[in-house]
Amino acid sequence: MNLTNWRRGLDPVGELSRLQNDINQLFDYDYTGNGGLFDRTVSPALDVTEDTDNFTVYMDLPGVEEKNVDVSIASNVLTIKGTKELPEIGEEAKIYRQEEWEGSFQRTLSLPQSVDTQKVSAKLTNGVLTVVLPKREEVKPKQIKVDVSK
Amino acid sequence: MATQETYTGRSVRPVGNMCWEKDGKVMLRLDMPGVDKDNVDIRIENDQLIIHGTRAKEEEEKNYVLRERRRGDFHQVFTIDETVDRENVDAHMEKGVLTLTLNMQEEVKPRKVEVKAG
Repeated sequence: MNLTNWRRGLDPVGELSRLQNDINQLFDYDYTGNGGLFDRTVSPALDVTEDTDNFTVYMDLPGVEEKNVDVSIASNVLTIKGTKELPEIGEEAKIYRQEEWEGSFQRTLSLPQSVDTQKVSAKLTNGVLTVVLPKREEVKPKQIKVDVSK
Repeated sequence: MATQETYTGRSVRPVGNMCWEKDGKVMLRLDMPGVDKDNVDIRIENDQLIIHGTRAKEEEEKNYVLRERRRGDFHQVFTIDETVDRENVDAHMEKGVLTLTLNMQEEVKPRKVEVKAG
């Protein structure tokens, strides 16, 4: 059984644009990394967005079970940690390629004081963890309508 | 002559892919976080197995405080040989992971020949 990645034919223009893409992505964060030489915990990439009501954290966790994810907040520090398990494929299987990581992962984020830590919610859909961090009522911008009378 | 359709959009190769053979089947596992099962397109054209996963479109006006995740759709092309039974490919999407089962053609499966005593 022969299974190889498909290679493009000779296409100099395409090659150049691919090279440009690669260079553009060179300093992008890799999908996973770890905190240092002796840190054996994977740190998955995350996105944080802000709007008027919430901060939202997104983390890619493909193949991770809900029960294996732990989201906690202690003194305004958000910790997302858990473990990723790979399927049991058995001893007799012949592995051609194994790029997938397994084991524990952890990320921590310092939250601004404006987050209401009592109302944080999290869900895991299609391998993406979404943590919604609502802002406190008093810090939300309020629009006060002033009636101008003649 | 076969025409090759080249995908030119911004895409990423599904990371963390895993490939193994067991019981005469080849299994492929591809991480595609954020892709719904309805947005996975798997095609076999000649000798190419083309997998494309479209991520849910996000509103661009989002205000990012931190942006580390890779963007773009997932696209991966494999060349398969004639031992793969093209009519018998199973795909399963769960928790952002696509699992493909490629079955071998019956005639190429290893066969055991019984030796009869004369």
